[in-house]
Amino acid sequence: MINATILVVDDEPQLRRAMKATLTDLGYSVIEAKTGEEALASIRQEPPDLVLLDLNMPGIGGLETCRAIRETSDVPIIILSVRNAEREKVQALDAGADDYVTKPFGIQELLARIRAAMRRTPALGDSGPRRFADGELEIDFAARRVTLKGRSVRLTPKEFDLLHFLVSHPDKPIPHRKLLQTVWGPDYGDEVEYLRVFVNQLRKKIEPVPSRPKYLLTEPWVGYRFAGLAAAE
Amino acid sequence: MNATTAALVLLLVVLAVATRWGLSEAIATSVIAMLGFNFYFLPPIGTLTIADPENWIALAAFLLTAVTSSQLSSQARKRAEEAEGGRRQMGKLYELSRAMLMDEARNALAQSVTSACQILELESVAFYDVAAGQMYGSTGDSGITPDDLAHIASSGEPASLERYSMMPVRLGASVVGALAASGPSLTPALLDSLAGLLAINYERVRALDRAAEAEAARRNEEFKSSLLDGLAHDLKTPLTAIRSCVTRLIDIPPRSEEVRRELLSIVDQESRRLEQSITEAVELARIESRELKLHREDASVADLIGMALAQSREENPQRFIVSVPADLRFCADGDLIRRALLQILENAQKYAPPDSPIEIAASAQDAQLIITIADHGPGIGKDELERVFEKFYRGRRVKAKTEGTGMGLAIARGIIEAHGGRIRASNGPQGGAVISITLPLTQELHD
Repeated sequence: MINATILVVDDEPQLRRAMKATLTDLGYSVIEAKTGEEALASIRQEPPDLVLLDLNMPGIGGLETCRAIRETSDVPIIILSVRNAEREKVQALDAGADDYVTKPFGIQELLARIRAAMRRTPALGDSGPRRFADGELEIDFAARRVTLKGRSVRLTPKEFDLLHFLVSHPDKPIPHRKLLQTVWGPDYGDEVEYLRVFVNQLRKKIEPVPSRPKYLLTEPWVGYRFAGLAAAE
Repeated sequence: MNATTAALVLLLVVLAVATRWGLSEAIATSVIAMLGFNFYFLPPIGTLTIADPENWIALAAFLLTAVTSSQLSSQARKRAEEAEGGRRQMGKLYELSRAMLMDEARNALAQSVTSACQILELESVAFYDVAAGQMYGSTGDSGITPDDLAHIASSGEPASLERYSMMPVRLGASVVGALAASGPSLTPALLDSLAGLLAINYERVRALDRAAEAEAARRNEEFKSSLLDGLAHDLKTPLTAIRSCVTRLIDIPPRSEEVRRELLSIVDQESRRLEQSITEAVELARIESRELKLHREDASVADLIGMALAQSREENPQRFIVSVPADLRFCADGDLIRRALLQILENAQKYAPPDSPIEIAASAQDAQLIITIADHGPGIGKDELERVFEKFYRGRRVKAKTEGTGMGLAIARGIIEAHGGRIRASNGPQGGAVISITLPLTQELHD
């Protein structure tokens, strides 16, 4: 039996009720919030293991809530929205969400996404390098810590896992599908826009000049490659 | 003073006269100066006779110099006057072009002809628009008809009739119209310039029209997309609840009867809600097509409001602050009025912050029933007060954050107006939207 707390943020009482009914007896305990403001207060009081966040709510709205959560917390966030446009997805991921599920959804799909968002890439485990350092960028994989020019950088778990996997295979182009399946899970593979957003966010955080990346390189039509200028120790 | 100095001073006088007055005055002055010079300075002094033949030459030289210089200076003056006239005309044309550019009105073409007439001080100006087949301005009593100008435009040749000059107005290679003008200050150059200005203005007005059309098309698109957004939300929200519960029942059968019942009851309620959304859309269509039949009966206002409040699915009923006299009654289709009230309430719930108070008041005044519903939300923009009742219109201040079909207030208006009442929106003294309904209290025969 899983034992995790899920915060459901939706202004529609019936949707919160449905989430509670479908998730509770599967081992998740569900906390409810009907606005973004309530969600932020609830997270401060009792940090959940995952947030299911509606995009269209009165008050500060889903995107802003997502950003506000990300300022203080690495909790996995899954956006639930009726909108299906790629632009909306990218916006949500940009705001710091880990995943995006379009309403209406089947319970199996939602459960798979919840599992994926909460998992910590087991494939990486203890394999691969423990440290990377080239004078500017320093990554300590065991402590999950990154510093750029001596300044500590905050990465979300998904960002960290993505970076970890790329650094573990330096100078090797990794195809999109492989990255998605390793970092997100076996149910993923077509969500290329996720990679685009996450790699961009990583670049903003670890590249000295994000617009001219020197570590995270795009391999057109293939995927991404970590340029290991200095050999990882 | 000797003769040479006197001659030079007199020359200066002639020059001054030429510059100040003109050629004929200068020549007259030259002759007088020559006579005076002869009389006072050339020996024998005191007579007009000249003794020394050499002085004849001096006198002739003086006259020649005086006439030539006065000719030159008066020519210079004339040129300066011409330049000044040209400058004034340029100034007027500039003023006219400015007047044309500033004008964004629908009748910009007609206005430009009037401005041309006033600013260029012409008797009359008329412009014929080929594309519209219409003439702006007037041709006075000259008898020039739009057909004559159409002919000028199609032939592409200038013409004149009495005091009127007519010429085609070209934009690039194509003729867009024809111009007729009359007036004492009209010169071919001015007519040319005016035609050029009219052509530019014509193009500008067309461009404005096209931009307005594009803007209307864009608004229409926005309209449709907000409708689709709202419908998608209204339909997909219950569908999401239904689907997640049903797939849960099918894929991972719940172990307890309790959970199973809860899942099924959500499915039941949400399918009803889905039905309601669809009914609403159909209802609006019916109200719009004026198929609405009223079933009037005596009803208590307090009861109707109470029922609407109960139906509003508000989680915190404490936020409703109701002040309605218990004995207030009127004759109406209670079912429909309740639905109109519910739509307004739901709107307030949707747009005002959660748990902020919503005030509902009813009173009788001059045989009118007045119901107001006031919230503490962001209020409604002044330019939107009328539009919020339009079908599918959704308030600018809340659109980005809140979903809705924009059908609610349109339905409410349809119902209230069918009862012979009025509904309007305003902003409360402390901000927040106020919707006021006025219904005839004693009404029998309105339907």
